[in-house]
Amino acid sequence: MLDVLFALLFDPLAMGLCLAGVVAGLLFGAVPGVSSTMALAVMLPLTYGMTPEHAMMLMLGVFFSSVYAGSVSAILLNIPGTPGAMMTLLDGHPMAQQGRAGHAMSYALIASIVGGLFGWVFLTLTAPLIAQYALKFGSPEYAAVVFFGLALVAYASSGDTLRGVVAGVLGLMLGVVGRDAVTDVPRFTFGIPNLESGIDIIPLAIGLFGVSEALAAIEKTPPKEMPRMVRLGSLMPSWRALLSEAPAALRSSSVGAFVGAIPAAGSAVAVAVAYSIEKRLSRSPEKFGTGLPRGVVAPEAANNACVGGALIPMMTLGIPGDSITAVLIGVLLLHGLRPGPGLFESQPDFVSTIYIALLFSIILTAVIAGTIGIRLYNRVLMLPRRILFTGVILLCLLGAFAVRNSFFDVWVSILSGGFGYVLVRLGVPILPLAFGLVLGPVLEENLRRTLMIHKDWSAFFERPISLTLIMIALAVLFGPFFRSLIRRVGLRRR
Amino acid sequence: MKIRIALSTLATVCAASMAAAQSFPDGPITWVVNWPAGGGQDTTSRLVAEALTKELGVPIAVENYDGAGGLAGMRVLAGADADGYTIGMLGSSSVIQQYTTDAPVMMEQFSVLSFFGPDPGALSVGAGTDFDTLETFISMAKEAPASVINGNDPPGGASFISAAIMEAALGLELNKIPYKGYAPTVTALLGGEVQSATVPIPQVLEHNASGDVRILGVMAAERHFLAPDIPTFAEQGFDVVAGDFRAVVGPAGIPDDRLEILSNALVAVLTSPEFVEKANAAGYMIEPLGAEAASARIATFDTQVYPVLEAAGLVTNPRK
Amino acid sequence: MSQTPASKVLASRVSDTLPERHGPLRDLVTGALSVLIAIVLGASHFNQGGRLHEDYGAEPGPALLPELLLAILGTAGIVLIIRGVLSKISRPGQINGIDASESDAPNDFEQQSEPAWAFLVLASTIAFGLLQTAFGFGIAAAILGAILCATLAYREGRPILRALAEGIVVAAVLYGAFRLVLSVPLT
Repeated sequence: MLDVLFALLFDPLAMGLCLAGVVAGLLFGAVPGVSSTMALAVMLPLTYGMTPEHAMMLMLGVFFSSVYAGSVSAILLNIPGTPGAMMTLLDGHPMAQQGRAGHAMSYALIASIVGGLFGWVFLTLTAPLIAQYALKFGSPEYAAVVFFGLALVAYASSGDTLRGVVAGVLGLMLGVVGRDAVTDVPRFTFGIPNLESGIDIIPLAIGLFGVSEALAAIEKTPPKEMPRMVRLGSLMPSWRALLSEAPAALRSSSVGAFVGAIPAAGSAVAVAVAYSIEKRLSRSPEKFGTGLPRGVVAPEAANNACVGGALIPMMTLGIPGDSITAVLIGVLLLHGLRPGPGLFESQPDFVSTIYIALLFSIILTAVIAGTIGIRLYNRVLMLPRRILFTGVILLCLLGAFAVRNSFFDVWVSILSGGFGYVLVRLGVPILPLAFGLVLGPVLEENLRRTLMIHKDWSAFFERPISLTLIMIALAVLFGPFFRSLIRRVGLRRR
Repeated sequence: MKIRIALSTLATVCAASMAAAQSFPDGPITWVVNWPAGGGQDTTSRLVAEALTKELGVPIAVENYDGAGGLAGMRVLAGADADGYTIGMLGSSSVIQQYTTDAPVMMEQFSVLSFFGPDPGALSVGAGTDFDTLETFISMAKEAPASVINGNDPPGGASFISAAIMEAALGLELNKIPYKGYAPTVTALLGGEVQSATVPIPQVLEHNASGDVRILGVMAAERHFLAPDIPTFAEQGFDVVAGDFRAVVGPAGIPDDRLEILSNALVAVLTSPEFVEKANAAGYMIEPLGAEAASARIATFDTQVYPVLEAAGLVTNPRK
Repeated sequence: MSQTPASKVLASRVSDTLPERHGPLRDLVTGALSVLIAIVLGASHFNQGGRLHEDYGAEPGPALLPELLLAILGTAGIVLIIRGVLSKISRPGQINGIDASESDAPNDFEQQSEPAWAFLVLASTIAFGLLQTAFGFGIAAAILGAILCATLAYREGRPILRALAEGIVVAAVLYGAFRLVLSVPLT
């Protein structure tokens, strides 16, 4: 591996391409509606004439930095640019509103780097082992892990249960819209063809979070002394504050790397699970959503750890973990390299190249974003409030269009923006809605598939991984109930 | 410079008879892809578009219109001006969707330009199963109907149709389990959740080589270039031909002369050795066919797939 | 609720814990809305033909989850309505409509808030959606940008004419970035 490292280190073209990739990813990723997948697909034709090694340096640079950059528009503008950034804005944007945008972005960057490095170590050390383990992850396990995630969310939501239920059910309903993944029967499509493939999560999230928040902010009479929407504040949080987030960053990184390694899971599930675990473990879960650094650290560490995780099934099994690695496989195929078990035996140097390219990408992202990026993004904050809000709403509309080049999605974000605004005014929380939307379809599909294969619910309890997850989930759900029951019985006896 | 003068002289000479043909194409062409960036349809489209730019001398912009299971892009393509400046790629799903959706885009709304190539289905089984040959698979599946668990697309998808065509042709019944796309299907096959899968060859090639998966047969008239040692179904005595395909089309009503220019350019691109080499390396089978032959291929698939859809109860927009 | 001023500003923020928002009127409206959504979606669900309501043997089929969700949503809505009615009866001083609900959620209204502006912006955004079919994305976006920027300037007490121009510039810059740099096929 060392010889490959030095070969690439002293290859100015390879390093230049990696740098170019990182810069492109930082720019693309920060634009709402431009996902990492899209950024990679746009760069793909550039790699036609390159060696596969150079192509990997470029593409992994784009990949990693664009995943990080998704946090930028989430924190500064409250627009989720990528599914992985959906949870980041919940605490990131309040921090920015409180004048701690600099802290939020530093937390996001540092957590991303920690997550990225964790994912990298995970990839290099455990790739073949984890790949075999990930294969054991069948439909019952998948259903169980999502059930576990939903149980954590339900437990962690300490507000008004009834409104939480309404929000969660609304989210699950939105997830139902479209053709059923198991039988291909249309549900809640009202004969509208565009609804048949379901409601895309990004336009919906742009509406629910971006547009509705902008509306809620516009209704406020502008305060005289605060001309800007958010302020950068100081850049670096104190070392003590940073260190206290370290356990959370490592926990979320392991969640991200693991979920990323499960084929076809993806960063949306990873951030949802990581966020809810941190909320569950926190001593003050009610502070989540009001600008808690941990609410930024957890999803950012998770989605960047996902990068390394997602490369595991791609390299060892030849299976894309998500749509991003699907494009990477496309790059390899175009260069006549077929990823899979054979790659490790036939092309060990190329495997090392991928490892090193990802490592360089992480380091370069840290350097570029840390020195120039955050300050450059900060320029956005210098704009007057009226221009910023005008820009935010227009960016929401453009971003929603760019996801699938469809004006239908713009309507989705406008209408869900109005709907989200009404919900906010009614005091209905949006977070359970977002969780229901992300996790609901995965749960339903895998649950029903399990029943099709095993014909029986017992499948969930006969397999060790799913049994364990379901037991923990049930303990989380009913634990408080039993605890209070025991306490009540005890009081009566006394 | 000399070449350009020569060309312009030539152009002036021919101008009288071929005015329309000479001036086409004189601007950028839009290439519609009805799937998101990064997928097979997108990769092949971008490959062709790159080569076609050189062939026609005008830029070609690939635009992805994802949504409605591919129908969103088809609607954009069918609704575009039939001036030859908007073309795109379609696959078997577009043929199937004529009958399975309430607001379909019909094949009559397109003029076919060329065939790109087939993506034949194949039957693969997990290494841990008892199915050593195609024959044992079929006899065991017949013995206990709906006992063999097969991974495929949701109903109406390409690998579902391949499985259904196989079932109909051989008189079997499989327990068809839907997965969203090839990658999760292959994962399920490797993990042992399903016993067999009907995904195309490139998806399982590497796993076949490593011994995790056995490809029992290819559902095509000829063997697959990537796996020349794997026999077809027909060679083993079973008449099953199924799978996806790709073709290049434009909106119906493109003037004949322009259609010919596009069609010829596409066939020229698809037959050029560099292109074939590149596409084959990426795992795509090329079969360049002109407009008429391509139309015939699509029509054949149409006739083959309709009764299968009907039997599966998927037809909501019956053929008139 | 001991809150810092900073978090008061965020009272209307998206969050899953908003303990100060349990007004009876809000309960009533949320409940009614839930029941209404459940009825409308339920009607569409049960009237749908085709394979939706078929028996799928071992697996519960595509109809189960929607029906489960409709039932939960309807029930939660009814309970919310009951809770709203009960808490109004138990607090007789606050029966009179909107004022009552505002008085039991004082936190949001400490900073002056005029929802009419939000609805105006929402309406202009919907108008943008309709305009773009006629004029194309670019021109509609420029009009929307000008309106938004002017509205915000009016609220801040700044010159409106300049804001109109600024809005158009913002729209042009963003449109250009998506159209030319990212080559998104905008009309």
